[in-house]
Amino acid sequence: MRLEVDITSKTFRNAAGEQHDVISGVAFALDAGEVGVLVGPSGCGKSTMLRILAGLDHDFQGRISRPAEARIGFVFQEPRLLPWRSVEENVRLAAPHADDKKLSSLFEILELEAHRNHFPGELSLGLARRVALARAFAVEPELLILDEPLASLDIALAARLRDQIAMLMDGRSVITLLVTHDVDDAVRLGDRLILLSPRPARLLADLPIRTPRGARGEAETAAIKSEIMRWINGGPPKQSAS
Amino acid sequence: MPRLLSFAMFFAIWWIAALFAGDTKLPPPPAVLTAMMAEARSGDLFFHLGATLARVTLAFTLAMALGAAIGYLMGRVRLADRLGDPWLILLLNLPALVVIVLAYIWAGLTEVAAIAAIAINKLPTAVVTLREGARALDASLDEMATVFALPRWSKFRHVILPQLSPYIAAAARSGLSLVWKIVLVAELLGRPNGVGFEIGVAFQLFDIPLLLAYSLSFAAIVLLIETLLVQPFEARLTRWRPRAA
Repeated sequence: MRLEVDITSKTFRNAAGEQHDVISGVAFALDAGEVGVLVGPSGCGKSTMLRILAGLDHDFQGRISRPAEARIGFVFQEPRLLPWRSVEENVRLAAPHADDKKLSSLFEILELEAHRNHFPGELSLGLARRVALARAFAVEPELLILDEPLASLDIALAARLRDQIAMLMDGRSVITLLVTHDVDDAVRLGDRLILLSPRPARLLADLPIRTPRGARGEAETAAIKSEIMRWINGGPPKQSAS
Repeated sequence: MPRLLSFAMFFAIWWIAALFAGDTKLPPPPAVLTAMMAEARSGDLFFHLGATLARVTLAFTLAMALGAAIGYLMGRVRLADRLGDPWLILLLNLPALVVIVLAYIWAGLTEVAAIAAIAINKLPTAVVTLREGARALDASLDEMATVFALPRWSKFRHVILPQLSPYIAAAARSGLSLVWKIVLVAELLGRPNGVGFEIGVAFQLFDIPLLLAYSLSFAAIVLLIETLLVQPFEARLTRWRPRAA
């Protein structure tokens, strides 16, 4: 299974009727087992792109090719749990076919065992995110979409959750798309970095990382990071007018 | 405890007022109680209460089911809202008496006419409340359900219905009080039984103890249904909300 994305244009009309360009040309492809990371400044249209990929937004110019019936696991920026259902029910509703053993191991990795019967309103943001992650992985997705799963968590918690996500991604041949504006997370989790310009989003660079996730040394990580920074800080041939 | 106190105060005020107003205008509680016991012993009280209760149940269920469906549709589909809105405004402002009289004229002095008239009076408030609920549905949860391909029934039961339930509860509560008020008028005007009919008889005979006996039994039933059915139901619906400290 393969995901091919070619969005030539996406515009959005605001309440006042003014037209805004959100995406002006982004194309890339991901194979099963590959983790693509969309890196770009806040508000550049990353979330819009994810909504298009997930089939929530059909109003765009271009083409998305993926199996129509692909199972999707989506971790939204806000957890989007059902407040009136317990943690376990939230996961089971999305993944009715998941067996107890699989759920238990998911809950164990994400440290949710003690919270199975809690309602989302009783959870911290960090815990609610984990529930959203558990839900997304429980459906055994073919396409996994993570929209800033580590945003607004403190550093220690973000690092732990990042390791847990890496652990869950290993050994699954899922097409994963991760959005982040944190270069560090991008390098640690991704196999392919898709760098985007400020709004309207345009593809700046498509950088594959050849070394597997677990085997990346400090030096290599630093090298990739500095390459990203070069691209972001005016690496592309066309300099902005400002 | 405060509830009992509240009841005691009600009877105390009544009794004192009876002393000032005189037996003919406001009989004291024992006189009304005697009338109530007499009606209960003959079986009339239960017969008429039962008839009224049956009408309330039927009209209420009919109006809630229909009102919820129409309200949901109007909240979700713009065209339905545009088409239905003038009708809704008309029904909302039509006096209950007009609906009842017309129903009796067109459908005869029948049970169907009575129940339909009561239901039509309650219908628009249920529609308006549920329309508000459908408009307030959370689009982000809708997207979640779409992405995770929740089956239709599962989405309705676990995503939509819990969001609508406060609106359904509000519609049920306001609707129930409306139905209680209207059912007696419908009975008074065109039914040979029920609390409304008995109150009409008591009014013609100027039998105030009888009138109060029926009114109070009726009020007691309303209160009982409110405490035993409506309030526990509401508490169950909101059990997931974190309790205020």
